[in-house]
Amino acid sequence: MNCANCIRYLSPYLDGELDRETRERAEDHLRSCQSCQRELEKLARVVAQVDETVVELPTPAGFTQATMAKVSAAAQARGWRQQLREVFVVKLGESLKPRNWVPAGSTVILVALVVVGTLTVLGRKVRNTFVSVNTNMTSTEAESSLSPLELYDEDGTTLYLEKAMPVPQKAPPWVAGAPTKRQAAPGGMSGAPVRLTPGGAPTQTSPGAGMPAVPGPAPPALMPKTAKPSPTSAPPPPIPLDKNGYYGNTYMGGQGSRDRVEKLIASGVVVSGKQVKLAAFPRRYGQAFRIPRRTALNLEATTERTKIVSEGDSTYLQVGLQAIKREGARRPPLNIALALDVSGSMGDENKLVYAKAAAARLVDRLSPRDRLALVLFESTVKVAIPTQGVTDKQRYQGVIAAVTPGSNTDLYGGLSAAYQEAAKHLAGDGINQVILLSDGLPTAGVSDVVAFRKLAEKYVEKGITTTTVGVGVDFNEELMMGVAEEGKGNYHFLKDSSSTDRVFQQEFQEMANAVAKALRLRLRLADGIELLKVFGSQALSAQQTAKVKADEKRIDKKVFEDLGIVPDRQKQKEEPGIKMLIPHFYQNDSHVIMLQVRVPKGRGSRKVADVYLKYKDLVFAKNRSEHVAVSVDYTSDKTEMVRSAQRAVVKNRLGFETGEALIQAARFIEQTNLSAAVRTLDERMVVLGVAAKEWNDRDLDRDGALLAQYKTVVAGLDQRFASNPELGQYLRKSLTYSGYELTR
Amino acid sequence: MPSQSLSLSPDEPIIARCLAGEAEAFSVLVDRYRGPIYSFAYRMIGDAEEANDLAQETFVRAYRALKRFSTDRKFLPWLFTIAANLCKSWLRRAPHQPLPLEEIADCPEAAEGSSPEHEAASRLYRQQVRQAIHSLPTRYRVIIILRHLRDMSYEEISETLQLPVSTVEHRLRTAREMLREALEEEVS
Repeated sequence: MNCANCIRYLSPYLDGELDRETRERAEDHLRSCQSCQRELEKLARVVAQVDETVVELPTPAGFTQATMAKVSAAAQARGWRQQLREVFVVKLGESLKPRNWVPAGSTVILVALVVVGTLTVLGRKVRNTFVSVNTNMTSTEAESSLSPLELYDEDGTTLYLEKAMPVPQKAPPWVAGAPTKRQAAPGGMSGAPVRLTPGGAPTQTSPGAGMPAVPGPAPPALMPKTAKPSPTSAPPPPIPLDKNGYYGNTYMGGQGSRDRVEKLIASGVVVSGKQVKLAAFPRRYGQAFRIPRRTALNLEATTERTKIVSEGDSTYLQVGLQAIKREGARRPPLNIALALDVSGSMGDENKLVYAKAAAARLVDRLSPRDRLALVLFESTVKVAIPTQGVTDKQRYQGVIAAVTPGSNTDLYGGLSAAYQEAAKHLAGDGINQVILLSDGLPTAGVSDVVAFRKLAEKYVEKGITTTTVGVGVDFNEELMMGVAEEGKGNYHFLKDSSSTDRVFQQEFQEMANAVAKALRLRLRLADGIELLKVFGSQALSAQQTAKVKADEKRIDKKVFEDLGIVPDRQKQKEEPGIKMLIPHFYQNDSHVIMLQVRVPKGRGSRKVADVYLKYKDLVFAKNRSEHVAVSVDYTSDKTEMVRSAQRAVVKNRLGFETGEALIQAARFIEQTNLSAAVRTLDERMVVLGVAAKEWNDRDLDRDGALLAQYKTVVAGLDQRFASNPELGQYLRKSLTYSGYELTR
Repeated sequence: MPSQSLSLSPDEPIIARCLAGEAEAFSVLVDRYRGPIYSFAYRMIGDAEEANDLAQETFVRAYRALKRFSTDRKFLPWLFTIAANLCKSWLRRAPHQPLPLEEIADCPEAAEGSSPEHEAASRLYRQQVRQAIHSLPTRYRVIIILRHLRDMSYEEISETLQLPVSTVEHRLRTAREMLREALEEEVS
């Protein structure tokens, strides 16, 4: 053995990892070679030092306990799928003879059958068909209102099924003055059959039946003026789908909506339909859109299925927006006024603790270039620190730390004072923003939501945007969200202490960095393509349309003044198509818009839609317009159609539908039809359970777990109703008008 | 609470009980292996709080994947596999940060009777060694830590990191050479 060889072996020699023969040869060489011996000694010293250093450390206190808490949370999250199996007891093989196993006149109740469709939509052959039957319903009232389940097997591979929806039942005697009119309204469930396609989504078989288009953020005109419950007023009439109208914007920065729903459910609170923003669900998923480099935005459009059977079928049209990725390296100076709610109500549920932590985080993130005013409000409004450069962070932190809850809440006064502070030193080249941190329950001064929105709107015109950060279970989301919407800012929600950090991290990434403004999206459906649904949005009224168009013009002008981008929206020719105006779009962000459409019968291929996007590119300072055409191919093979489903689109659609299930459940709870609400959740859980398992998808798993958690909340209401007749009445009111009342 | 007998029994029956739905039994395994897993994570990333999170996450992942754990492997190397993957992806996300100067709760071996000067000198020296290890590229650092933390054999390291034994040997040798150079530089 020579020296070069020997040196190679020294390391394993010290570890005792040489085989006997090599070891002996190495030792022979070492005995005769001084230089290699010295090498060995040096190496041995290093090994000894490392051995001394890399020792086991004591684990932090409470390690096992904290770990086990996470373990059982994980076990529970996984458990929700096992739970499904307990609910859905019958598992059938391939020789499915549905009509035979529906026992005529039996007391057994049949519920929900979704899995068959789900398995096929996953683009695979049905391997394992199981049918869900729920036998343990206790309410006979609910039982008798259900018609039996029917099921087809059309071609052996794709199973269709029809599910009879429950006939509206008589209100239980303990619901005083329950209106029957409401249940007959199109918003309620009528007895019309809903057909479950392999897509798993109910499609309407007759106009007005099934699930109507779900309203998005309530536009101002439709919003109840105040939170005065009056159980007799009818819901607003549904606005018909319009292939050529303006629709409400569904894009909103921040994760507030979803975080809030999670918090409500975790707190055991009934979620009202209004609190559920459909777009918040797919918003949480990572989207795989191409990231633009030479433009601020990238536009993508596709159908869920790229192939459609020749007799025609419904599918989904997805439009994706993806903003350019940029690091927030050169953030312009910020001029911020923070309005911090220190009223008595903030003393509950640790709300003030979270709010203070969040405020402290905000101060941390600012630099001396930035300005910050601190306004504290309760029954009185106090400008604790007038606007000034953030040179003395200690002072801000000191004031924040010393805050204690006071009495009433003059939210309007607090917000106004913050605007005034921010307006004192408008940063021409920077960002001017008011941040409202509150539980949104005005108990003193102005409490009219419309007035709040007007206030926010007024200051947007002066160049001050508003972001709201909500906290607590019991708060007025309509107000907080409305202010953020009107104030062109973000809406966040402090779920717990860990979210305080994330909120401002996100806020800072985004608020300084809108990369596009005045987005005008136009979806022109091709001839023969029928519009069935726009997820999370609805056609705007003439008045609302005028407002969003005025907004567009104003932004157009402002961007010209600021960046010199030529105005091109001052005279807007009306063009056909579904139009959405998005005031601004943030960097690193993405957004999904989805429609359900019906493609008629045909051959060859067919155009589904032209998608146009016009926007002001703030990164490259120019007007942009993009166009994407979407078409589908016809096929004679149903299986081929099912297999052409694009997973990313299906997943987003399932996200929207998770939101829809919550809204649907809210409707049933409003009608005090708890079993139907539970069933709605169960059905969705089955779909999500199968998809999450099949794709090993954590997002969908989380959504399913959320519904499972909610189901236990809803199921728990039953007993409470029985023991407290007034509760039902109370619940109806609270769900309809405020939706947050029924706390544990 | 798990019984005394459980805390003395080998891993396999405990794993079986976890799989049978007795989640609490898992706490025995957490207690048993939290030391090496936490230490490993800490040595890998050099941040006590993050290491705590990653170590906890290691156990959570292990619990979730328990069904896929095959009993012809040993449990701890399997945990190390999970921990190593978590640390690697954490390091990919986070910029490599310098090691904090004073290490928390990390001087268990101050020899009794040694003079304060001697103690201070040896502490400083340990700090230099730590720094040198921390500066190694991840793929070398992970092997050094596995080898020295638990005296794992090359075979076990190879299984843990899914690398050929020859690669393990080679990297360990290279890593030690790098450390030697770094420390000699430090001394001179």
